[in-house]
Amino acid sequence: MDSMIRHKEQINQQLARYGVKFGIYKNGAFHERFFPYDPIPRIITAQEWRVLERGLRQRVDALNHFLRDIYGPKRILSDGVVPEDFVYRSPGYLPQCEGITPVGGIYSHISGIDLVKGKDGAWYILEDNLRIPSGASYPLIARDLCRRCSPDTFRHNGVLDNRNYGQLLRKTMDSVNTGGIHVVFTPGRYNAAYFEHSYLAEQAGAVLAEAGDLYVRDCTLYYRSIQGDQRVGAIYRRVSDEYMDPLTFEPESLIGIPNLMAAYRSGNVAVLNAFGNGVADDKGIYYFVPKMIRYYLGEEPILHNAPTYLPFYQEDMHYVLEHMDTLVIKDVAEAGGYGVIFGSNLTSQALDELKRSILTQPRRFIAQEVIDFQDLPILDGEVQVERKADLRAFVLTGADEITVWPSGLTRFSRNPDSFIVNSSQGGGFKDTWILSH
Amino acid sequence: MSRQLHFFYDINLEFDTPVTEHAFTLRCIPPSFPGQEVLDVTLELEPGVPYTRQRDSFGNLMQIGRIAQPHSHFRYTVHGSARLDLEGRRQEADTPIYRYPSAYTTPSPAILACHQGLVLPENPAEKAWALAQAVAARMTYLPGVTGPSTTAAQAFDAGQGVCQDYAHLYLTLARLSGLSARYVNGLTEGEGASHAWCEVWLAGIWTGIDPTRNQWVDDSYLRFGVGRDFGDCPIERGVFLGQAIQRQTVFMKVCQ
Repeated sequence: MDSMIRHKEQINQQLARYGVKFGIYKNGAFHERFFPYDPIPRIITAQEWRVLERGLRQRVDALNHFLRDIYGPKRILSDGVVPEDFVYRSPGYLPQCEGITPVGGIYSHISGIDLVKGKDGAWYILEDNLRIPSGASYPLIARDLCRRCSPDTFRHNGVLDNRNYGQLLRKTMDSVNTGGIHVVFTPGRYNAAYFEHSYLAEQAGAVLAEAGDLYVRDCTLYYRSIQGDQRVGAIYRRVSDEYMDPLTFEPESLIGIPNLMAAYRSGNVAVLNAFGNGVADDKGIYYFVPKMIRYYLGEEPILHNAPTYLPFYQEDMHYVLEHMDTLVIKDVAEAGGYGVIFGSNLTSQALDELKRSILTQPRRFIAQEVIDFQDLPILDGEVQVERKADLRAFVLTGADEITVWPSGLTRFSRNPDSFIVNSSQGGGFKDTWILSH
Repeated sequence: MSRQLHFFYDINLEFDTPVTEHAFTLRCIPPSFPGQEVLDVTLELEPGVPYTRQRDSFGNLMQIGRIAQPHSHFRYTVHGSARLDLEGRRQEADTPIYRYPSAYTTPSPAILACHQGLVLPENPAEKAWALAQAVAARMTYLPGVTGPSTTAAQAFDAGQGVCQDYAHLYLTLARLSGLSARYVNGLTEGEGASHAWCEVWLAGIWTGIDPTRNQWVDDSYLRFGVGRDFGDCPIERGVFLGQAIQRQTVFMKVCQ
């Protein structure tokens, strides 16, 4: 461990040299900055990991069942487990996907599940990210650099090797590939996660492509290469649904592939992740995930949600209005740590305004108990301090297996008073060690 | 009682400089369903490229293709005949998506206020009719004020628009009133351009109502596509490479 700390500056310099950057939009302008790395790893024991692994596989399995059901028979709605309002009013629900079955029936191939560890030692799910979750490349490249700076550390501690993420991604893409090359599709240089797109393409043996590099002919996707046009069998796209096909979604999109939807509908290309997944990682739908696990799998959820209230239900509305000052209120339409309001931080006037919004638009909000989560040590200069941190676990689902990457992205808040750890809000990251014992 | 219609629909897109990489999706072939039997139909494209047929998630027929080479115009002509018979309509299950707001039919505060001021009958068919009267009372037909991307809220504020705007405003009010209602485009008997109207799910039957003409739909309406709003079922959508200025000419004729 001491050796890791000694190498902090060296690692951060290496990260800078390799261009491990994170883009951020502030006041309308694009800035790139380094994603600060902290050398003290989060350590998860083998025993604890076994539970997390089982729980994460179970959760993602249920979420894929849900997506298949929603864009198909909708049994969970007709059986009254999820009110239809939460599906049909969700901005992530895309009726253009009704009746389309993706290759292998998989919707969420790469899932980023955010968890926190409470002071009681239990893990809680904060949110599911089933669209284009980012962040796997940071711990991946940091580990690689750490091993170079301090090989002994990994010889003497039984840490599971996490450098197989590229192979896992490759295997997942292989399992749904319809015959052709693998492509990682990026919106381009000015995207927040461009570094990651290029890195993952290299790691997975895929071609990195932008809008002009791909086209659809005869409902088949092609990549223009210098050796001639090549058929694409699987596209890992890092562009949001609404910009992916200007002939189906946002007509003004210049970063999409015209008629990609036709190729997808024909089953001629696998799209990772599938279109329309936003309906399952909506903050309102989050409340129902434990119910989905029972409904589709007939199992008790292994991992728990943070205690959540839906003002949509009368009894919850009452509780929320009475306990606003101790709850965290989330606007379901916002992402990336935006639209998260701690009742305790509000003036009484702002509190009243929020109450009025909740009363007039109950479907728009969820309320959660503030989880007292464990702080992790980080180095602030030479001093070790405690900060809030979460864990994004990456779950890869192929046509025949669900694998949890034995690592993850641990993000921490640099502000001692903040519970929000999203990288777009200025946090840093550290490595996550899964021990083999 | 049924009516046999002959239809001819011709669209020509001209580009002032050649364009390339032109990808298109057309929904210009009327489908057959109970109440509308397409007897024969021909589609001609210029340039004559191959196209693939698919059905979208709303059940519409699509013709999908791509013109890679430089071209200065894109023309599609569809003609044929169909037998229309409203009596032939069958009961169908409700589709919940048509009860919820969509991109073009999200109510604005002004529309909500207008809706609250309406006194509507309980009976769904009477309610559907009353809503058409409400739209007619608030809108004046005037081309050129609105465009293809105009929402119901914008058209309501303008108080003016064309069939697409009437349909969107009608759908917004109908969904606020608890009706399942969907957007329809197609052709009607006569000459001119394509038309847009609505269908309301009444006693299990998708029943056509035309807010622009303020009348129930009869056997003179030939349906091309349906959707939550215009965005789901445009007759033509395309993107291409090039800086060309586009000019469109439309000719349409439907007769018995």
